[in-house]
Amino acid sequence: MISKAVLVLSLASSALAFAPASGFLGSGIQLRQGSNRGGVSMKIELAPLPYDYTALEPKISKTTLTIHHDKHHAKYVTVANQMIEGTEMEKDDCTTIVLKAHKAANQPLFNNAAQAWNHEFYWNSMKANGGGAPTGALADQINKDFGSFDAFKTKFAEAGNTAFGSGWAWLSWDGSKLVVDKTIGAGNPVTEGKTPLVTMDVWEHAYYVDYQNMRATYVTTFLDSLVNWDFVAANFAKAKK
Amino acid sequence: PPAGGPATFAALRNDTGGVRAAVEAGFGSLANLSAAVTTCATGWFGSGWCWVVWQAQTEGLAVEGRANQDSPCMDPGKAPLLGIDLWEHAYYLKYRNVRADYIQAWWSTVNWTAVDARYRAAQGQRTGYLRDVTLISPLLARTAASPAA
Repeated sequence: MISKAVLVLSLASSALAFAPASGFLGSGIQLRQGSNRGGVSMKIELAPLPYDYTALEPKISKTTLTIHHDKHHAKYVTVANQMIEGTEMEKDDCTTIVLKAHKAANQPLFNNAAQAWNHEFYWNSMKANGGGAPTGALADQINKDFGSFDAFKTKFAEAGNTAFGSGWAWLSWDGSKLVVDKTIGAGNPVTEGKTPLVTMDVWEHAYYVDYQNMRATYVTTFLDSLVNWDFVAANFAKAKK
Repeated sequence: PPAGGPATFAALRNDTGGVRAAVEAGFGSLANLSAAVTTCATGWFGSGWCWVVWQAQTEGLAVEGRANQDSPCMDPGKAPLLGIDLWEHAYYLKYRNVRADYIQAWWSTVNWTAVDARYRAAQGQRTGYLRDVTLISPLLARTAASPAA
């Protein structure tokens, strides 16, 4: 079990990791990087889950979180780091690597770096006893851009349920409004200049152990009971600056 | 134990009209073909299938990976002979993230009798039509007659 002190510390450092970075499309989203030892490479880091492996049970099992984080996510980080080793991207943050790979049409690097990005963002998009509804400025913006919170949920669920194959559902800020997108594979809205606010993994490995083919039930559960509106609100506040 | 696998391949008639001869001509051995498919399948990113196809253009076998639901029969002159499902739902409950173990086990389930029958059917439809690749299968004929929008 993670001790409360360690949990608070890791949440604090996660918050720092998401502090606005300078000069990068103004996105402000920067994933945790390895510590800069002696001014050499930074490398993409496999951040621990922001909660215990049992924290999301029974909605997402310990088994799923263990395999999903320690195998799938970990492998993307390892492979991406192997691919950037010895290149100038060793010193770049994950978002920069994702965008450089996209621009260079380097599909293998994009797949691994973006999946590393996406998974860390996904863990933080959830919390124990999540769900409920946003408040304040984010709630107002959702009402403005979708009509109502229920309309947003319908749209987000549809994105998750209709992403054919492996993919992700996103709520992002496009500079002037909120948008819901679905992406395939490792796709991430940063490649379109948007600022992601929350994501939901709909690769089958995200839900197959707990929901088998019933993706719709997983999607509903994500929205009703898992989504971390504090995280979304914090991302929105940074994005709107 | 599964009824498929390499033993059923070895039991196939080795005439020039059958898939066994085609595999040995194109890849040298079943082991080599298996290695090519395994490489394709292990490395495939996201949902999809790896296919063994017969190509009219080269009059030989080829291995190709395709995304999601895509099939080689979308291309003229290709007859799918064998496919391995790489969508995670095909293997996740039993193999979790270890796709390699699934692929390895899958080889012992392959129904070579069916693969051989498909190969012979593709050849048979080809016979008598000089380079008319659209007649490899009825589906391809329909596709050629009414190209996808």
